[in-house]
Amino acid sequence: MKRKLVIISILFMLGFFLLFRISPTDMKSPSLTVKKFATIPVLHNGRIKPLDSVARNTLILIQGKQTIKLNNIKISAIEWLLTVLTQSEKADDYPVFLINNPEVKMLLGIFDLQKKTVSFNDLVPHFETISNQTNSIHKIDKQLRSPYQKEVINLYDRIMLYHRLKNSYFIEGTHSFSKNLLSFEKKIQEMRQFIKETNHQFDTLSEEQKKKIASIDTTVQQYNYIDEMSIIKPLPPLENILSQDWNSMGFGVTEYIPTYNFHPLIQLYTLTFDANVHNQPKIFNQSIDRILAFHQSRSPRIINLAKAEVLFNEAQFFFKSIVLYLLVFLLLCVSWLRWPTPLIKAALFLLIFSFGIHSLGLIFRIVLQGRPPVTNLYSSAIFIGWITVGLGIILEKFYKNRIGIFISSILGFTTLIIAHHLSLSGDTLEMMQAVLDSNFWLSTHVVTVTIGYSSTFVAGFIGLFYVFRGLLSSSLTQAQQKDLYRMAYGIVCFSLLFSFIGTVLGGIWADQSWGRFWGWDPKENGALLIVIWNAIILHARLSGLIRARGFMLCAIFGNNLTSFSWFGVNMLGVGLHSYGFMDKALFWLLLFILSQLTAIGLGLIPKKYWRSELIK
Amino acid sequence: MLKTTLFCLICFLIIIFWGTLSQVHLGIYLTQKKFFQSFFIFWEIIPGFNIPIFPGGTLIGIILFINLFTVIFINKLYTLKKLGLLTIHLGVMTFLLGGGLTSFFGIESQLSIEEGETKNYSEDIRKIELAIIDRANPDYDQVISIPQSILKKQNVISHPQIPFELIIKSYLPNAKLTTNSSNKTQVNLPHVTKGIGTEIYVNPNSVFTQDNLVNLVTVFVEIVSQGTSLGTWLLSRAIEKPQTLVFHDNEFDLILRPVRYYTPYSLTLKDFNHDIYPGTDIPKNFSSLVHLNDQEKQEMRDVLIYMNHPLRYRGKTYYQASFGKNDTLSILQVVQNPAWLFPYLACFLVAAGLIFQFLSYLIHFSKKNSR
Repeated sequence: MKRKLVIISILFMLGFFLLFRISPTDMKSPSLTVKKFATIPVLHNGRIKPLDSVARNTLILIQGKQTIKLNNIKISAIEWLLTVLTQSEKADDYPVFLINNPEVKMLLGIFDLQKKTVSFNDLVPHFETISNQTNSIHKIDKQLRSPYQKEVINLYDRIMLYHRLKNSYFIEGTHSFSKNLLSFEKKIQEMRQFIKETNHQFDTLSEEQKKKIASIDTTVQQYNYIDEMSIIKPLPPLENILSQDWNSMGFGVTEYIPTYNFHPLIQLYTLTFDANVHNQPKIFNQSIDRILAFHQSRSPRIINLAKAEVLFNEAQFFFKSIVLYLLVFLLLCVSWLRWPTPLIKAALFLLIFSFGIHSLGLIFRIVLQGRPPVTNLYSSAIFIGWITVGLGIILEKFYKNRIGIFISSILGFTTLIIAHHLSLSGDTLEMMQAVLDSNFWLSTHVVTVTIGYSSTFVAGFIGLFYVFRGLLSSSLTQAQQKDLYRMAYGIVCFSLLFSFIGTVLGGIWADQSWGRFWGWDPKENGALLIVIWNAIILHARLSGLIRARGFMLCAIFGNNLTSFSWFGVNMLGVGLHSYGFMDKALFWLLLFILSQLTAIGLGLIPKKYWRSELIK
Repeated sequence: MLKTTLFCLICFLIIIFWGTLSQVHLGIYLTQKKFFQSFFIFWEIIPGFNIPIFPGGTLIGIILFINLFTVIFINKLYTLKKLGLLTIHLGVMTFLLGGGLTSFFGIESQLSIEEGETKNYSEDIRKIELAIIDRANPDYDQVISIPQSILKKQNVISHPQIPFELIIKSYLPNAKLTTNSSNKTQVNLPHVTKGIGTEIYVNPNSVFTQDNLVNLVTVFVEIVSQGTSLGTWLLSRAIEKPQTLVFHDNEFDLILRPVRYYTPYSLTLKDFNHDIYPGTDIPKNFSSLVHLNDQEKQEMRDVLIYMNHPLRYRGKTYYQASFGKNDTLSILQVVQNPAWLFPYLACFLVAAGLIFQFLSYLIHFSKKNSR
């Protein structure tokens, strides 16, 4: 008994240690004031979000990671953003542009294969080459571009994104933001005076006076340019609190011309930026407090959501779950060799614990977005993982044979890894396309169909377990085989129910909004394939065509159909924004399908060669 | 019996999988025709020579329907104990029936309408008709339209309401029209003597299969009255203006246009709106404000058609499908499906049966477990 307790407590300590230790954003997190800066809400990509999310999303797009490593010092995304906005010369030296493609490296004259990232300044001499290449590649149809061409386009887009980010508040290279604003104000006032004095007679102006007017024009143009370039809109409308018509800094500054008034946030931002440049933490702190206070008084809800999102970003629930699921899996593997009872108990505890963290992340997302759990491919991966782990825990509760834990840990781990890769294409809380904008159907159709996907995977993994354990070890007893068969049968029935209802609900949605129930769209067909396959398995069993082993092999084949309709149909050119990932995903999809077919092939090896004795 | 069911299900699986993959090249519309709404899937070994290589969706659907019907009696599914199974199978049969009826009686067309424009018809942009418009009566135009299937046969066409005969001298399923003589590859095409076609060079083109490309059907028509030729006209999808033929002081307009489905009411597009999420290109909403004018039923009202909210009126459903011309043109998809209720009934039956079945399995299972 004592030994058990010791092992369990050790594991728990390990779990907690992992939770607080390992996280992509290092725990030596940025100073408190930068954290406050991170919570300022702005409008970015159609959604109001904290600057922290802007920084992370943009950095992920440019670099594929949320932090920068510079001479062994870690720089957080928000610190990077602050530097980009206020001291762009410094930021231009940060090696943030990830270059993976060896041919692109060659184009940039990088022959050091170890070097993976380059800075903006490194790229400057190659701009002409890159933009020339981009121009000619744009003439080629998207589907026909080679991997190299896609990478060049991608690099060009990332350079543009970085450039636009730099010019999102003030023109890059500004050293004193307050002075810049003051001179704008002064020039406009001068012009006013001017026109009064000269009585609208431009021709009578002296040469010098004319030049002055021209210089005003360039100042105004500068801010118009900022308005055009900026990807961040930090200025909320003053009257209508619910309105999404936030404005860019450039627009806000030029609004001075008709109104002789600045939006209250403009001056606060200049103070903040100047304080950061001149390293005055006190002023920096104070002016951020005033920005937050402004938002607080305008709409407390926006501030609360922004704070919650920063918390969500920092907590990294899903990343922690990945680590924990992996740990569960390892524990289970060890338990087959030594100390079975305490280790299994520990694994189950740890599994439930990580399922809790996974759930917490899921709930956080639902609340932040105000949407059902599945809104895009990324969240479907998170949700499929969650359901499979849940089903595994339920199976474990009934059968107590470790298989539930085993399957949960593998599926939880894999789906979250997939989700992690999907998250690299940008904002995972992105806005919904017009067609999908219906919470009712999202929560009924999409959720049910995704549950159908998940359960088919669970059944398939039970099949895999059966094949490998039975074939390679003599430990699969007949009682266990019966249990596995019953588990798989139950899950396939469950899966038929959910995939059918989910598919049909999709049809009803289509009929309600487009007047037709079925349109033979690839995604619809994919879901139908799963329904039909589950029906086939059940009927084949009924007719005596397949028994325990055949049932398991059919369940494994279900993995292929599900992965095809989950991912495969998106690769048929139906259009998914991130081509880069999808190319790689195609490779993994094919590999997965191949592996499943191999497993089925192995399962067909005659019974006498199996190390365990099979039931009929 | 069960083996037949399995056979049908496996065939369906193959057809759907195969069909989905071929959508990449054929597009959704043609795939539907070739795989799902056909008796056999054909393979073109050499151009013009097709052999059936696999049963198509319609055939399998019919076999499965008969199979399910007989299964109900052979396996005595009508006993109380098998109530769940009976409901599921009846539901699947309803699905098949609904699907069959839809593919026979369902009509899909498009209404593309500009702001301020009024229309009382929708068009099927995949099918064409040759319209002969008699403008003799000042109050109304009399329209005779000849469907594509007749034009294809390249025969002599006569109609009691047309005072002349038409000879379809050549029918091209797709062609490129140009006024530049240097591009011509004239191969044995009839000589055009009348209309705008005299200045146009025609190059036959291979048929497009992509969903977003329109085949420019082109025909050469000779008009004949009592044995004397009145000339040969060139009609094409690419020529959007009607060409006029004067016959005994009466004017007839000839035009090759998408097949029209007239409605006893008209729709006027008052305003089209295209909203995006601020600071992005992601569409937030498309909406068309339409005025419905039905003199027959005295129904005149404004309707807003937008995402997930179509207009349903007199058996037709209008939904927002696309837009163009700098957001002044709205394209509404028009669906007419008399069998629209079938899937609802079917899914109610199947879902009820499945839930019944699954719950009884669960109860059975937990009883066994507690023992």
